[in-house]
Amino acid sequence: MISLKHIAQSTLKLVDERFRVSSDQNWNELVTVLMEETNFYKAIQAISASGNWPMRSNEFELWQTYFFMELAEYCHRTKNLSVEGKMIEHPTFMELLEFIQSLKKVTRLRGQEDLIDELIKDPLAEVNFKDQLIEHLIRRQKREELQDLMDLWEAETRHDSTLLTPENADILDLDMHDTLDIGGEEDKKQPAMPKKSPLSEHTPIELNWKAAPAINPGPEPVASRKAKSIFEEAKKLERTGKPQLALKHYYYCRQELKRQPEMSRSLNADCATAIARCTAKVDLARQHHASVHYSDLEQSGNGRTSRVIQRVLWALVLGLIAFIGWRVYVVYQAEIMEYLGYFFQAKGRLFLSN
Amino acid sequence: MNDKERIASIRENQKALRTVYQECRSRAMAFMLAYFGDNLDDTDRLSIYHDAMIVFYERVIDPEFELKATIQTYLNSVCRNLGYARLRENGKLRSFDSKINEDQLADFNIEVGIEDSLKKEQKMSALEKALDKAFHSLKQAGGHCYNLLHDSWYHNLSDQQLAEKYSYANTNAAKQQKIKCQKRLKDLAQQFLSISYD
Repeated sequence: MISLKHIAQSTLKLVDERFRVSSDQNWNELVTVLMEETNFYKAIQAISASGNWPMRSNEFELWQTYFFMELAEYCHRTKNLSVEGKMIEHPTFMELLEFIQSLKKVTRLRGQEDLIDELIKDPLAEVNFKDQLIEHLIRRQKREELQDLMDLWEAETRHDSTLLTPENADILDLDMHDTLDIGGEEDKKQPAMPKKSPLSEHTPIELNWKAAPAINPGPEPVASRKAKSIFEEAKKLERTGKPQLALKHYYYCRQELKRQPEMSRSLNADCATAIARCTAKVDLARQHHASVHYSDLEQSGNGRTSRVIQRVLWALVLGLIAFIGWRVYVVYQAEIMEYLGYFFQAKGRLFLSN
Repeated sequence: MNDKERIASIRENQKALRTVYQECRSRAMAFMLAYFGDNLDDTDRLSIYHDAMIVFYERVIDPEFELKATIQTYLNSVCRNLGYARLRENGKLRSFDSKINEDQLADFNIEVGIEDSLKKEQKMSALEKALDKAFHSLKQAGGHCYNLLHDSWYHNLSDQQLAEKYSYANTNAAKQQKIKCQKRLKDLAQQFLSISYD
């Protein structure tokens, strides 16, 4: 709690060393003069009359300014305009209160600029290095993703059976259910969360503090272990070119992790990344699959049409030849018969000796 | 050094903030890149990160403030809030739709509960403008006054801390020096104010 008398005494020292502070003086009266008097002449008269100091008007003005400045700061911080039960309405005080409020705002604006200048001046190599590292990581990640996609395409080209169809997806689902029943019976026997250690009850602040290194006093929770094994399973499936099945495993892993939100944040993040990766793979595979079928259909449709056209053309050509032959026969029937007669008769032209 | 110790050291010495700035920068920038995509350019992201650092610092120096998340999570969350504010300013907010949904936010070190953002100061009054000029003059003039007031009003250092930092005999001496500096600043501001009125 602030003491008006103490402020009056400490600020008097700032005016001049001549004014010695002693307990003999009537400080209550002096504080009243300081807080209420607006007329310097009257104030000096009051101070002299009480037998204190021979003070000049500018000295009193300075004292009052320092006194109110201290009070204004106090009132600004406490957001209260009364001190020791007294409301302060002196014009100098009101002016200084406005000054203090503006000072806070101005120092804040300047402070923010200075703070940023301070932080970004002469940046260490480490900062740039980290940025480069991030860029490098992003680039590498993209390359790896592309590599994964190419591996997938390669695998799907070689083994048509790995292409995702409704039929084999059903089979994969069945397989998945079999695989996911990891430690099913065991889990029922064990508690989902390890019991709280006595230490944890006495140090709630440390536990709430997320940045503090995680100290796990009990065994690893069952859900976390289960999630890890599912994650490993999913990774294997992904590596063997079964992204859809792997995706379902990852989702299942995420589901397990949600039961233990405090545990395995890194695994959760890995899981999320893997889900995104597998989703992309599955989408791509679907597109690829769809495009293959479409092109087949397109190709087969075109082939059939061309074959029909070919046959029709052949039929037309043959028909035309037949028609021409028939017309020739009709026109030159006698000549043809005569010629053929010569051929086949014993006395025909071929057999003529002379 | 964990986050709690870091905050304690920032409260003691502002220079400790530099370590946080450097350590959290890359992740915060990478998060903004992932979350806002091309809607914010590099300059915007850096400017937002700086504003987030200011928000963080001003919260940390408040003795009543207690950080519930990690510093990185806090900064990322503030960056997200400030990023939205920036999109609103640029008129891009309506068309913006992040690829990262609310469920995935935790994976990116975000806590939706953190709603801190940079408070935009209103326009400065004549007195505030004069004070700003006076502050600048005080800085140009050299001496302890500028730094003393800056430490007291912006960094919220107590009289005891001021006495230690500026090697004053006791807290009273520090307080008295501060009052003198404030009086000097006020007189300077008064002069600038009277010049501007003339």
